[in-house]
Amino acid sequence: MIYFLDEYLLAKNSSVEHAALKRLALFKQFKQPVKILTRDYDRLSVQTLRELGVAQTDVRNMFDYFQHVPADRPEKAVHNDEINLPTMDEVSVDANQSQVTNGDRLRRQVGYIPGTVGHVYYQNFLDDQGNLVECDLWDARGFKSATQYFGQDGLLAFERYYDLRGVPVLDIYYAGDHAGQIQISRIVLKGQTLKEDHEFDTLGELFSYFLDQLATEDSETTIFISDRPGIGVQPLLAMHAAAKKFVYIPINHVLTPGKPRQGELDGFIQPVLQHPQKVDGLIVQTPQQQHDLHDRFPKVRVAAIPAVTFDPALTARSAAAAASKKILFVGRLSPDKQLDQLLRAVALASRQVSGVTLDLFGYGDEQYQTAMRQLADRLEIGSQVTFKGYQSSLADQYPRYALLVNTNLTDGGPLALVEAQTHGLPVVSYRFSYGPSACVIDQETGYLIKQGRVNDLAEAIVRLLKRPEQSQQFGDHARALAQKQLAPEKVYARWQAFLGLES
Amino acid sequence: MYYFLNDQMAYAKSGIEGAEIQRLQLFKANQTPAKIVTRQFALDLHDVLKDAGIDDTDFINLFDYFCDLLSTPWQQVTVADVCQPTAGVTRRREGRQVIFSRGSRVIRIVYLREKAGHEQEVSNVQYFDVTGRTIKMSWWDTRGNHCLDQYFDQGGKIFQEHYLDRHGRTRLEKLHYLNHSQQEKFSWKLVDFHGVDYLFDGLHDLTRFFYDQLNQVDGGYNVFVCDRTTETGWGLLHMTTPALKVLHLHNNHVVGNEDVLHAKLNNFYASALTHLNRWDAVIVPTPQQAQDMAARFGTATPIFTIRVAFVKAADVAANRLPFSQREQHLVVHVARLAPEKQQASSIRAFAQVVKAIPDAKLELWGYANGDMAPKLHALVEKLHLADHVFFKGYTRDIAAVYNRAQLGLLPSSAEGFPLTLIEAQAHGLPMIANDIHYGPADILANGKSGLLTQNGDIDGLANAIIGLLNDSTKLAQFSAAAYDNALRFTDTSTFVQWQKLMAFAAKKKTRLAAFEHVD
Repeated sequence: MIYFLDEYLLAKNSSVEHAALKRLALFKQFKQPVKILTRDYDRLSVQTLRELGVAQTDVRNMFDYFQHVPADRPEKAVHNDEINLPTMDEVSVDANQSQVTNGDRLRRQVGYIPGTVGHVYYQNFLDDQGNLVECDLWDARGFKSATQYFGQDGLLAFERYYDLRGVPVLDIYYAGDHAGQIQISRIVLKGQTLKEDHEFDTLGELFSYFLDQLATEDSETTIFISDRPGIGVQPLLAMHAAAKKFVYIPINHVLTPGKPRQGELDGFIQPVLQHPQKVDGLIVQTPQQQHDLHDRFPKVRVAAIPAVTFDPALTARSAAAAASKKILFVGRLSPDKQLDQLLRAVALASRQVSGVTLDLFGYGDEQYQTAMRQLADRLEIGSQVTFKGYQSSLADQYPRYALLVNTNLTDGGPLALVEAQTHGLPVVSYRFSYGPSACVIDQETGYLIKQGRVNDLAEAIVRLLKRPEQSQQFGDHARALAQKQLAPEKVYARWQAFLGLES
Repeated sequence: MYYFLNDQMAYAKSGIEGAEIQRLQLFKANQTPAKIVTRQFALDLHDVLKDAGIDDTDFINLFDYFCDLLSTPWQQVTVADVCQPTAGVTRRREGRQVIFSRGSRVIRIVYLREKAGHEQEVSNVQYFDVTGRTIKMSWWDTRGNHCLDQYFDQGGKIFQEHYLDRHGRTRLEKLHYLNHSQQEKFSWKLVDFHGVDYLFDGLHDLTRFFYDQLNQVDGGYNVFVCDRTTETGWGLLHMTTPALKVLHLHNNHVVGNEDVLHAKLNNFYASALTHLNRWDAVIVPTPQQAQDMAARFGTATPIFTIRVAFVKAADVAANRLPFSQREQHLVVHVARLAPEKQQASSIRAFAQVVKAIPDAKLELWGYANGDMAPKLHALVEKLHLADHVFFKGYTRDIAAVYNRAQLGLLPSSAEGFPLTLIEAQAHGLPMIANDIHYGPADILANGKSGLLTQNGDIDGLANAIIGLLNDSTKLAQFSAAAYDNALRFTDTSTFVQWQKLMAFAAKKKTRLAAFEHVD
C-alpha cells in the first residue's frame, strides 16, 4: 500500500493537495493501491470529499482511524430531536443556531452545518451563570465526534474524541495564556485499560505512531510519501516500524531564491537533506531542482517527476479563445506571486491592445486582494481585472483563455503552468526556480522573461495577443509536447521505478 | 419504600446518624424495606459502611446511584495496574509517591494509599503536560474503583470533576465556574441519563432530581424521612413526583425551655415549621414535644411520637448485676465536654457533695469539644477537687462505666433526645437529669429510677446527689427500677410507634394514588 502524508483536504486546497490528488488519480489509473492520509481533524470531511469528487475510501484520516470510523461511512443528518435534549426544555429554532431554554435560563445553543437545514454541527452547554462549559462536536456523518471542555477562564482546556459508541478514545490537552495562543500540550490515546494508555507530546508524535500502526498492519511493503514537509518529515523520521519513506518537495528548498548552493535550507526539509540515508528518496517536479539538490547534496537520491499528466479528454483551447484578449492567472493571491508586477504588465499591454482582460483564479489574504484591486483601479485597468475566487477544478476554464501568465518569485513547480500547456495554452512567465524552464520552451510554447522585467513581460503578452496564428502555433506545440512527455504511462513508469514497485 | 435522608455518613457520627442506623436495623428486623440515602461524595464511604455494619443494599449514595456503583466487588488496584513502564520513561519512589519522568520532565505521579491492604495500592494519580502543568488528577475509592477525574485549567483551577462508572465513562460532572462576582459557583451535568443530558443549577437541584428517581419504585408515593432539613429539605420539598414527606425533629424546635408557644424557632427547623402544610407528617421523639408542637402548630399535619433510641429486652436482662458490685459513692457524667452538657454544673455541685460525703468521686467521660477541657480543669483546680473529679476521656466500652457507677448525672441545658439516659438505665444506673426540653422527663421515672432537677439549680443538684448517695437502700431500689424502666424503650415497642406512621402513610398513598387513576 502507498500512503501520501497530507495535513488535510479542504474545500480550497493548495498546490500540495492538488498534486496529491492528481497523483492519487494516476496511481489508481494503474491499479496501484493508494490512499491519501490526512492528519488533521475534520468533521465535515465527508462533504469536502464529495465536493472534490474524491471517493471516501481513497482517503484515511488519522482521527477516523483512532475513532474507529469506517472509511466509507456515509453522510447522515442529525436533528434537534436526536441530541439528548430534555423534553421539558423549549427550543427556539433558527437557521444558524437554536436557543434551548429551561424557563428563564438559556441552557444550550445548537448550531447547524453551514449550507444545510437543521443538520446539527455543535451543541454548547451553559451553566446557570451563562458560562460556556462544554461544546459537543457533531460529524456530518451523523455521530457525536468530540467534546470540547473550557476552563474557568473560558479557554479550551481539553478535547475528548469518541468512537461510534460514544466511548472516549483520545484526549487532547491545551496550554496557553489566551485564546490566540493555545497549543497542544498533551495527547492521550486510550488503551483497553489505563496502563495501556499512550501519551504523546505533539500531534506529530501521534501521527508517527499512526504511521507505525499502518505499516505494522500492512502485510506487504508499506510506502509513505510525505506531501507536506511541515507535517510529514519529522513523523516519518521518528517511525519505528519498517517502511519505505519518500519525501515530496513541493517548494524551493532554499529560503533565498537564486542561491541554491549556499542559501539557507527550509527548516522542514533540512533534516532529510542532511541525513539522506534516513529516507529512501526525494521527489521534485523539475530536472533543474533535481540537479541543484544533487549538486549540493551528492548523497541524496532524488527524482524529478511532473505532478501533472496529460489527459486526452481535456478540452484544448479553441481558436476563438486563441484570438481573444483574455489572459488568465492561476495561483495563490499572495505577495510572493508579485501580482503588482502582473497588473503593471497588463496595464502596459492594454495601451497597445484594446480589450485585454485579466482573470485571476485563486484564494488569498483579503487585505492583499483589496490592495491589488486598488492598484488595478489606479492603473486604470480596474474594469478589465476580475478576481474570480477559488475553483477546485479549472478544466473548463483554461480552454477559454488566450494565454496564462505568471510572475512568481519562487516555487517548486506551479501546477498551473503545466496544466495550461496540457490545454494548449501558451504561457508567459518570469524565470524562477523552479518550474518555468522545465515546462515552457522559450519562443516555442511561450515566453520566459527575466525576473522584474515588467516591460518585457508586457511585450510578450502583446506579441501573442496580436498574433493569434502564432499563439495557435505555440499552443499546439505545447499540447503536443505535453501529450508526449506527460503521458500517464510515462509518468507512472517513473514513479514505479523510483518507488521500487513491481511492474 | 422508606428512605431516610441524610447528607453524608462518616466515621464521626452524631446522634442523627446513630438514630438512622438503629432505625434501619429495626426496619430490617421487621421486614420493612428501608434505605439510608446520602448525597455527598466520599472515597471511603464503603469502608465507613462496613465499619458501621451497614449493608451496601441498605444504602444509596447519590454518586453511587448515578454512576452505577451502588454495590461493586472490592479489588486492590496497585501501581502496576495503572502505569506500565515504557521506553524512555524512568520511575523513582519518594515516600508515598511513585514518580514517572521522561528525561527531566515529570509526566505522572502515583500517590499510594495510606494504611492500605497492599503496600503499592493506588490512591490517586497526577498527570502533567509538556509544560509541567497539572492537567488531571484521578482518584480511586477504597473499593478500588477509578471513580473521579479532576481537570485543571490554564490558571491551575479545577474547573470540572467527572464521576465515572466502572467502564470509565463520565456519568456526572461537577462544574466549577465563576459567577459575575468572580466567585466559584458549582453546578452539575448528568450525562446520558436514560438518553438525556441534564444540567442542574446546584447540589439541591441535583438532589431534587435524585429523590424523584428514587421515588420511581413501588409505584411512587414512597415515604421520605428527612433527618437533616438544611441539606435534604429543599430537594425533598421541590420534587416533581408525588411522595410522602416526613419531617423528623431531632432537637428542641424552639430556643430555650420557656414559653414554647411563642419562643423563637430553632434555626434548623424554622423554615420547615413555618410551612408545615408542605409536609405529610412530623416525627418527634417524646410525647412532651408532641404536645408542645400540637399546641403551637395544630395537627393539620399529623404529629407522630417515635423515639430515636431503644434497647433490646434480652440485652437488659443480660445486663442485670447485683447493686453491691458497684463502686461505693462513684458518680459518672457521660457526655461530650461541651457547653450545653454543662459539666461545670456537675463539678460545682460536687464541691458541696464531697463536704457531706468525703469519699465521693466524679468521673467525667467523653471527648472534648474546642477549649472546654482546659476551662473545666481550671474549675476543678479552683474548687480544690483534684482528688475527687477525674477526666477519663472517650471509651468505646461505655457499658463498663455504667456498670461500675452507683449514680449518673446529665445536667444539660438542652438535649435532642438523651440516648445516654436510656443506655444508662438499661445498665441499671440511676440518673439525675435536668428537666429540660426534651427527653429526661419522658425517659426517667421521676422518684423511682431517677430524679429530675432544674436547670441552673446547683444546690438542688447537690442535694439530690447527697440524698441518694447517703441512702444505699433507695439507690439499690432505683437501680432495680432502672432496668425495669428501660424495658419501656425496647425495639418492639418502638416499632409499634412506627407502625402508626406506616398505617397513616399507606392510607394516604392509597387515597392519593386513587386520584391519579380517574377513569
